[in-house]
Amino acid sequence: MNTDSVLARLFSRTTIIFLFVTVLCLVSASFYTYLEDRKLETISLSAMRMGSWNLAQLGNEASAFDREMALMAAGVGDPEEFMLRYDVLWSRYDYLLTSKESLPTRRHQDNKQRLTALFTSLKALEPSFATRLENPIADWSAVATEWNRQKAAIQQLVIDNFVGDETGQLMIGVEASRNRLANLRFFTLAALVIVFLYMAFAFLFVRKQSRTDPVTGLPNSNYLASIRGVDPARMIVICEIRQFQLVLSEYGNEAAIELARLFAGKLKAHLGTEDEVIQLGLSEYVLLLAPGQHETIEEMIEELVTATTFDWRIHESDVPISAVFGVDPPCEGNCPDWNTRYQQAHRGLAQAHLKGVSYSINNEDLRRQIEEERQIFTGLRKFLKGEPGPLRLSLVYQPIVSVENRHLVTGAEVLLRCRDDNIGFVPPNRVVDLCEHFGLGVEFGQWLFRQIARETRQLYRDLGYRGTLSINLNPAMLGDHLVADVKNLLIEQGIPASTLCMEITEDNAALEFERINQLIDRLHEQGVIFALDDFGTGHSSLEYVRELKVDRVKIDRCFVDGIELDEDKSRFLGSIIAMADQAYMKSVIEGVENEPQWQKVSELGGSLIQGYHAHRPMPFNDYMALLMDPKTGYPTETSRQLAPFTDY
Amino acid sequence: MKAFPLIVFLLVIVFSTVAQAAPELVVRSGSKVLVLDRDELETFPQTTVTTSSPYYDGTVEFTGPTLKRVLDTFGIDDQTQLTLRALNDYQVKGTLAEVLELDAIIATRMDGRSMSVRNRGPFWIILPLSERPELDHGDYHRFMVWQLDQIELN
Repeated sequence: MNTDSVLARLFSRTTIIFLFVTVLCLVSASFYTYLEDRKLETISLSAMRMGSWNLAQLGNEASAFDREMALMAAGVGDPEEFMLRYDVLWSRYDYLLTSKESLPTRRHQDNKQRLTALFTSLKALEPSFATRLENPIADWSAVATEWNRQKAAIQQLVIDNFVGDETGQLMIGVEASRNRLANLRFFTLAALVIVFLYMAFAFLFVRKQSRTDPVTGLPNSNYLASIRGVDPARMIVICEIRQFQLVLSEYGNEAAIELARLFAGKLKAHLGTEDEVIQLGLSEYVLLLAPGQHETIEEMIEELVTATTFDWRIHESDVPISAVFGVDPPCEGNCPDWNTRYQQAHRGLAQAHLKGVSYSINNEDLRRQIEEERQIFTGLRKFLKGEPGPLRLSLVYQPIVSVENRHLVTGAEVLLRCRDDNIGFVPPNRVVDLCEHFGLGVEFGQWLFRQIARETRQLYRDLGYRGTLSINLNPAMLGDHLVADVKNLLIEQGIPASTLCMEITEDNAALEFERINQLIDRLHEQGVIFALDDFGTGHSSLEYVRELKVDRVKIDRCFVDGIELDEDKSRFLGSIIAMADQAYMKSVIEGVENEPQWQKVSELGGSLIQGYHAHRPMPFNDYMALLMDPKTGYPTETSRQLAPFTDY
Repeated sequence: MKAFPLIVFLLVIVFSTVAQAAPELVVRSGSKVLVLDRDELETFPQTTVTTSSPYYDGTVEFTGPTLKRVLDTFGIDDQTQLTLRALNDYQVKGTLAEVLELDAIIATRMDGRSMSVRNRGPFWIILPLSERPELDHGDYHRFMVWQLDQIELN
């Protein structure tokens, strides 16, 4: 029989009524016993003895009267003595029926009735005595017969109430009470056993109920909380239905529950009997999987992904449903505790979400990567606050030269370098992404501006240098504060506005053309120009070129790759440059790495070049040294176009 | 005079009946006897004890001489034991000192009326239970002899 149905019966109406009646019976029995025993309480042993003694006295006094009666019947009786014995007997009855002391005796069984009846019949004899006493030779036999009946009744009463060592009617009451108590104890014990068993089953039922999800019938988070450890050979998988919130918002709660039920069904159907599924929420599940026989972990998870990817039909439409999995693989040797493994599985899930893949297996690399990011972030925060730490940011400058004259340096792009004592070099885009992700973007941008001004200010103030400074704007910098930041941190620090070129990427601009264009307009008023970076790599590039009011287009290196070998590629690059030209935009070609490429680009003409073939990124001192080199030309205060020293 | 003995006999019976009709208390010690009827007992200084008891409901007023006064009148020499006897052959023994300690009276009247045998009369040893609650106990109740007939000292 199904355990559930057995447990469900525990709370059926019949069971509850049965238990209620049992307890009620027990309470009634206890109450009855209490009442009965309360009567007994009033009879103390001494009262019982007293009662017994009084009745024995009654017997004696009856005997004394009996003797007088016999004498009277024989005609030799003394009327005075006869009446005295009668009165003594009379007073004994009166005492037994009225005194406080004899109350227990009266109360016992039917003593009171018997005594009353005897006393009444004794009193009834009195008139016959009177008539006979006046006539000495009267016939006493009729009266004697009547008296003998009374005498026998008195003797019986005395015997019935006799308290000896072990016998006695009074003791019967005590015995009955003892039996009642014994029975009550038995029933109480039986009822306690029943109630205890009921409670035990009820406890198990409630425990099971509280650990089961009402929708899917799967074990729930309460069950999960009770898990102390998991077989190291098992892998822990966290599984989350993708975009469940969308389903909920689109189709409502009932549909979401329906989907959860369907999804849980598919999970269960796919898994073996040794595997466990625990439900955390409608969209989140924990799987404890027994190791596969021949499959690798990847194969097992991929099968899971396939099994849980399906089209869900609702309201006449098909909704594609899939899930993301985070995996903590079986561990060998030194196995961490359950909580750590659970956390690691979640780490896998988080990673899968970040990477946009369907599953991610937690391993040492993933752990190290996450640990590294934490270190970098901590280092960045310290560095930006000016505190000493293992991480340092620095700037390098990659000169941008004219395609007509590679010694004419028209400016430089400021590039970020990052070094951590523990990790080594950290790629700049990772630093920028981390800053953006953890809310350090604005702080980072301001540090960048300050640092640029600190390093290059002398060049502009003292040497009259007017080469452009191309600065990459991270997304957080593209706010209203940008205008003030540029003004306060760069222009007022001695960098002429006309030499500043703010580079934005398509990702940064993120379709907010109007807002970005307002920013561009406000900085244009200052004389700052804008460049669209990495042109051609993102989506709808042409729309960006058309919509954003940028002054320069930086053509991505991918359009330069292979132009020296393929005429078509060369022509394509040419058409991009021409298009920019048509839109009154200057082209900056990135990634020119060798002489043949340079030749090709120079044939296309009209552009600026940034690439290894001309110059690699260099520290500021080298950049300055390059400018100081007599061969190098650069724009100056007096002429932005002419170099003071030209060799052509 | 054949009739004379019969007349004497009848007179004796009549007088003895009369004598028996007036209840008497006999105090005895060896050969020394004191017989007191109700009237004689009521010539002693009277003490009134108002008390409850296990023998009736409520409180009742008893009147009579104290046991001590009656024994003093009888005269105590070197007797130490006392026995109280009732008409119903009940008897209780105690030391003289113990019994005199109880402040007992020999009640002749209950609520002002003389007591018949049916009302536990003619005499009843009454202890002041209400006044001395420590006496309200089975050990002392046994001295409260009703239908008192004889007091014997030895």
